[in-house]
Amino acid sequence: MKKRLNGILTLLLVLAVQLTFAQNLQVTGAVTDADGMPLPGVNVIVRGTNTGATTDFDGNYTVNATQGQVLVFSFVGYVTQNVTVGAQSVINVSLQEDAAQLDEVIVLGYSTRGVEEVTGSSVQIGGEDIAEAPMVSVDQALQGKVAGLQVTTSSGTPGSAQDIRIRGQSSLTAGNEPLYVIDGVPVTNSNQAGSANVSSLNPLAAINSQDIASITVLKDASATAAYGARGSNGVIVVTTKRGRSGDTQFTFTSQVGVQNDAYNKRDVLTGAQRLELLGEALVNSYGANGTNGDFGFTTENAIPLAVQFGVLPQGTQNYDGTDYNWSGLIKNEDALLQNYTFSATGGDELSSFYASVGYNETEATVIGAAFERINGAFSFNRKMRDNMDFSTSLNVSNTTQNPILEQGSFFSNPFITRYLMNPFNNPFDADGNPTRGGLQFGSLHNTLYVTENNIARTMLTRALSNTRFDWELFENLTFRNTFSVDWQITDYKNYQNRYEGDSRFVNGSITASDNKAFNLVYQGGLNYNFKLGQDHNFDVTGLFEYQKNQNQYLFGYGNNFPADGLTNIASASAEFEAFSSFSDWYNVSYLGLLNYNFAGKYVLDATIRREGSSRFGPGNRFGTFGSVGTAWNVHREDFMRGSVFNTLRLRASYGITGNNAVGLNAYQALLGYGADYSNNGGATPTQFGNADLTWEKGETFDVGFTFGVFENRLTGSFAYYNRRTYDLLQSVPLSRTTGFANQDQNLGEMTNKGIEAELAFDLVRTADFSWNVSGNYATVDNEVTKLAVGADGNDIDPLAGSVYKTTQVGLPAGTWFMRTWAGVDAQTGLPTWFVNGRDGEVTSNYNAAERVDQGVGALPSYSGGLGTRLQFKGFFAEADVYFQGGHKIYEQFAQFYLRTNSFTLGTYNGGAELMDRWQQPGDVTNVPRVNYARNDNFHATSTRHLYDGDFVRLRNVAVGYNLPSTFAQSIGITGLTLTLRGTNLATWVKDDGLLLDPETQAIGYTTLTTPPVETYTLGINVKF
Amino acid sequence: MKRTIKYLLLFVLGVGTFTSCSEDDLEPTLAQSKSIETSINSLNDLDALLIGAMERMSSSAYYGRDIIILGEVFSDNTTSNANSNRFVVEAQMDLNAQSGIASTLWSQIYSVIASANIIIGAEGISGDEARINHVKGQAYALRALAHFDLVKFYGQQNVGGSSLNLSAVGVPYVTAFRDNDNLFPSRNTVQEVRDFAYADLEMAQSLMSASLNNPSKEFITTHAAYAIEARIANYFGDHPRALTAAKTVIDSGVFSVASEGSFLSNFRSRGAANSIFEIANTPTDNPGINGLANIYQVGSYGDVVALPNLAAIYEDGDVRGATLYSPTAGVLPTTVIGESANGTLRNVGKYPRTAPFEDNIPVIRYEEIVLIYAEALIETGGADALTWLNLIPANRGASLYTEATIANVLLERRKELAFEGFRFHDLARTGMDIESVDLIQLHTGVDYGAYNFALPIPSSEVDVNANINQNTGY
Repeated sequence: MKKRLNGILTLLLVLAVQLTFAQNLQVTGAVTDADGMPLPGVNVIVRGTNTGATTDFDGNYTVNATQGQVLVFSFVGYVTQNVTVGAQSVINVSLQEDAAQLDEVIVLGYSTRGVEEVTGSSVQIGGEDIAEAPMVSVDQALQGKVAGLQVTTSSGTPGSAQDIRIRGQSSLTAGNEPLYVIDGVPVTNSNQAGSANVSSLNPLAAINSQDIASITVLKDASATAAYGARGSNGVIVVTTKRGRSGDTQFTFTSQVGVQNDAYNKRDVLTGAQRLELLGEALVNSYGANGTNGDFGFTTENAIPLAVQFGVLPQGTQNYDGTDYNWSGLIKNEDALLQNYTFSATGGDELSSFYASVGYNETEATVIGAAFERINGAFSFNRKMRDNMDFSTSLNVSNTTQNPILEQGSFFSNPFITRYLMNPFNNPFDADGNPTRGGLQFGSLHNTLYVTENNIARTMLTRALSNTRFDWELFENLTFRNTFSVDWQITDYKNYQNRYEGDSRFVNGSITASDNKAFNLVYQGGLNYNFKLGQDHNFDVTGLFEYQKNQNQYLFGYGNNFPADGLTNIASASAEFEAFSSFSDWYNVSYLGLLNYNFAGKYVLDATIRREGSSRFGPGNRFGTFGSVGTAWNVHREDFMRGSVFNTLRLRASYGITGNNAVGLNAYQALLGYGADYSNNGGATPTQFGNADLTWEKGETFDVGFTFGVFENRLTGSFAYYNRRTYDLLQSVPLSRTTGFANQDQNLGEMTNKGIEAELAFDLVRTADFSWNVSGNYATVDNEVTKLAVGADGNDIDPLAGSVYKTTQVGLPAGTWFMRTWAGVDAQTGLPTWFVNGRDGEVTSNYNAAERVDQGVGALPSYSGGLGTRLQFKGFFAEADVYFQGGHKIYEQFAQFYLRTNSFTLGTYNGGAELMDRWQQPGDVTNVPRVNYARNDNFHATSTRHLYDGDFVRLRNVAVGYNLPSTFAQSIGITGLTLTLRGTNLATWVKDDGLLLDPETQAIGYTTLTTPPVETYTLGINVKF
Repeated sequence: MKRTIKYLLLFVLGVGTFTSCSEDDLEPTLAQSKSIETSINSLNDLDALLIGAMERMSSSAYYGRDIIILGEVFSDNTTSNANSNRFVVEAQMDLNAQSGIASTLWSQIYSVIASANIIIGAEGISGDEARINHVKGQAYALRALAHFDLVKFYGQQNVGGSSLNLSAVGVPYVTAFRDNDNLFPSRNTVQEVRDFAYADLEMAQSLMSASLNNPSKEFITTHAAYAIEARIANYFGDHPRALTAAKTVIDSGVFSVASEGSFLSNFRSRGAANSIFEIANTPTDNPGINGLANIYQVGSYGDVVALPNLAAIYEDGDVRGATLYSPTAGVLPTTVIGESANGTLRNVGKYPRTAPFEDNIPVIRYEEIVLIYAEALIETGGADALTWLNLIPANRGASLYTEATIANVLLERRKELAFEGFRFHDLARTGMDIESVDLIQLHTGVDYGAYNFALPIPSSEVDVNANINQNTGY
């Protein structure tokens, strides 16, 4: 509305000009931003003259002009506005932020390019989108936003590492995680947990998403080649917020909400159900016609008789059927989430700053786990001289996570309790306190007591400092320097109490460790941009980069505490252990970047990077990588003038990137000196070594187009890519008779190809009402094309020995490989599998059935997102859906809770699904008969527990209200936004049999980790 | 002037960056390891390697637990109560090629062999020759014992026939480290494995000197080299060789049978008089919760329980028999088997101590050698077999035998060596079935010759090494 008024006003002014004579006058006025905040430092120039002025701190200016002259108001980041001087001497101007310009600059890490100068495949997400997601680490916000990027929540414990795959899996055994670049500098992002058994801790969780300005995901070689060595798995470029000149603007944001498990339908047997099955299973073993002989067991006497025979422990006969609801007790219903950030930004013509403090406290949906972060960020830019720019930023945070023992089937893992706790156990004593000193039945710990009385804490202190100094030595020749230091100091403490749990029999124990990870990067180089003639635009960069990474680790352990309340090694008295270690790696690179365009129509991009890595042996350390890319901005051609296309770009790129993600010192044949025997230290051969080890290479071809039609109301892009990874770094299995399990070798080839499409449409686009829908879709088709060859000339399966998977030529890497389920025999009640693994004859002898490949692996072959956003005046509503599929996932712990014998019915507990067991001939069911003393291998690896991974998830729904600025100003603020948001509100899974959350770790196993969470938050954003 | 500075800067920068970093600057630090090629030069280095080999032997994947437990849960001595889901499929004798233990046992034993082979193959070592030879001799003996342990479990000698078959397929006998010409060895026959082991032991005996024997018994000694030979010969029914080797050990006069009073306490002490070779556990180096004490005794694990059938073979008063016992601080068990209040029978006398799990693990006890000697005397028609046999019950509070028969030797071996991993092999080498004796047993009897008298070759081996064929039935 306001905009339209301005338009009318301008029109009137134009009329006025025609009616008046030129006349000198002093024009004054104030320049403000859209929110009415004064803008200092705005250039006000009388067009065609040298006359001009700059606005002062209050945004005021004074300039001499004559009627009919045009005042040009310009300021970085805002749309330049022209106002013709009329009769009036006061001209107040409101500058609009140049949203287009912000969008259209792509931050590529080493460089920033206009969107039309880019030849590679990349997607940039704005800071608002990231800040709004109520997750503790920024990578989680990417899910569904970028075609070809798959994020899965490997654990819902706050702070846990996420699995991210860009365009599938490019490597067999070297890493598949993308490279993270923060403010132009590559950082390491390895799990900082103090123990491999507990919840992981993602270093990205140390960064407050409110401090992020944008994230760019680089996908193809043209975009990633600059990162040469480590670009093969894609690059995630994170840019943090910088200061903005003007009066200091304060922003306060808060998000408060509650979380629960998003999707979990896997129930366990109640005590009464288990009792019923137990009796039945005993009779099937020891009753009349029992498989183990008739010992007189009947439904009536089975339990007491089994106790008498020593088959069941004493006391079982006294269980009265009470339901103790263990799986409910380990839940933390409506786990609280709080996130507060207070920031300020401002500055003058020469300097600007951004400062923020943030606090995040997020409970987990399970007892015992929690997350807390306090962080401060400060960024400062200063124009030191006309030709010298200096900027520095510092991000310091302290993150405390209380991890749980969720990375395996540990007795104290709360999720083991959920699925396997013998339900006959009463969790509480007569006074209502959790019992200690061992539960009556079974070996699981009373998790309630353990989580209350143990201390598990991972504390990560991260300081990331980034300083940049640009000196324009000669016109357009800039000497660039970036210096970055990243300290990640992790302090881990795990005290286990004296009465219940893992350290009950050692009278309490303490593990403490300390890891210091230090990453240093220096980048220095020259950038020169110049024009030849009118239309030849060049931008050339030569850069040197040095990276040093060091890790120091110190560990101590002791047990046997003399009294309660003592939790440090100082008070322990026995079995002391200590350990320390050091490791390092280095990277050196020389980088050349060339960007050329002809009149903005034809773009050529070339990158070359020579990189050396300490991970390889002498002679094999350096590799050369590079790419060429080209784009044609068709819409800039004369013949396109007047066409429906506002944008039409065709682009193609080709390049070679590398991967060095093998173990440190992997090339050397090593003796390790960790052995200890009879109080003496010793040596063992620990690594076979391979002096020839070198870079894994990835060759990517990428072609695509981008378009915008109908005033860019409909925009979209499409890309096809084909990436061939060769000289695969793989851990080739060795004959174990060598004393080694494997050797790292450069062998084999794999391809990933697919398409990526994005489409957005503004259904309605008016000042008051807008409605936009968008979607993205990507496919990836992975195939292994070459492997190492064994003694007999046949390929060696790198996954030899795996119970679940195989890697073979012609199949996707890590294809599921197991026996094929053929149902329960309706006559005998025994499980059956196909003898040949495919069809036809079936057998109840598990070992007689053949293992066959199941055609697909664990990585989704398609994924995408759909979103819509609707805005009416101050109100807005949005929704996002994420989907993926085409893969299968394996329910790994079915091997425990779906046993049909003493394991589930005598010692632990089983899934509620066991109630569907076969009981008599003719029963058609998917669960065999229960038999206490037999192992029918129903639980063993087969397609019975392999499920289609396809799912659709309502990832994000939000409604909100932006207070109009006039109202806001009346209450002394410049803006207020309220948002009610829900994440993971609904989930649809394709496979009815899949009862656990379909988001698994990238390798496709459902695990005993905290499931992804459903969240409701209320967000408030106040600007003043 | 300013311009000159800029040019100078550019020049220094250019020269600096493009010359400063060479491959040498990319040399990673080796902080915890050393290069194999350059680090084996002295007797001290060989000693370190030997300690490494022993450390590997002490792993819970080998003598630290698994090889001992397998010999028990396969037999009529013990079973698994699945308390922590350990040794369940093992007690069912239902392993397959993907079973974890098939792979960990195989890999761990071959890793001991790899360590031994580095020592054996080391050349140009500086130091006292006799001492170098003593270390090398130990490596030969370890290599023999390790291959014997492999063939006992993975060889096909007890499958498909009615008695031990020497020409059956055994395991690869590996004699060189990182031998690029033989990275994928094929399986030797059982007889070849046996004969290579004999040869290695003879080499060990010739290289080692009794004066250099480590008194702790935590390393191979000259006596242990003969004791191992006696055990191997006994297994393969080579009784004359067993007789000679056992007699050499007996004649050394270094060892004696534990008395009734010291039998249990010897399991809590180091280097007892009845110990010939034992695996060291120390407060800082022990398998901890993954060790023998934790798997046998009540606690977090405690999966392996004794069968009532075993407890029933002992007379009242036999220190190896069963009495009521519940673990209480300061109260020691009075017999090997303890019966808990709920009736569960457990081994509480051997490898007795849980935290800090520091009891040594006897690998060869003098009593075993005495029984091998008695058996060899019976088989070779020698005199005094009964005297030697009765030496054991006489020191255990049990009545004496009136007759020296193989059956009595086997019965006494079951009594004396229960929980120490011998029973399955005794059944196998004498062609006996594994009987179903108790309701809580997880299998219902396995006849001699069945496929599961041998472990499967792990798929991590057969899928990689095309020269190795899978065992029958897997």
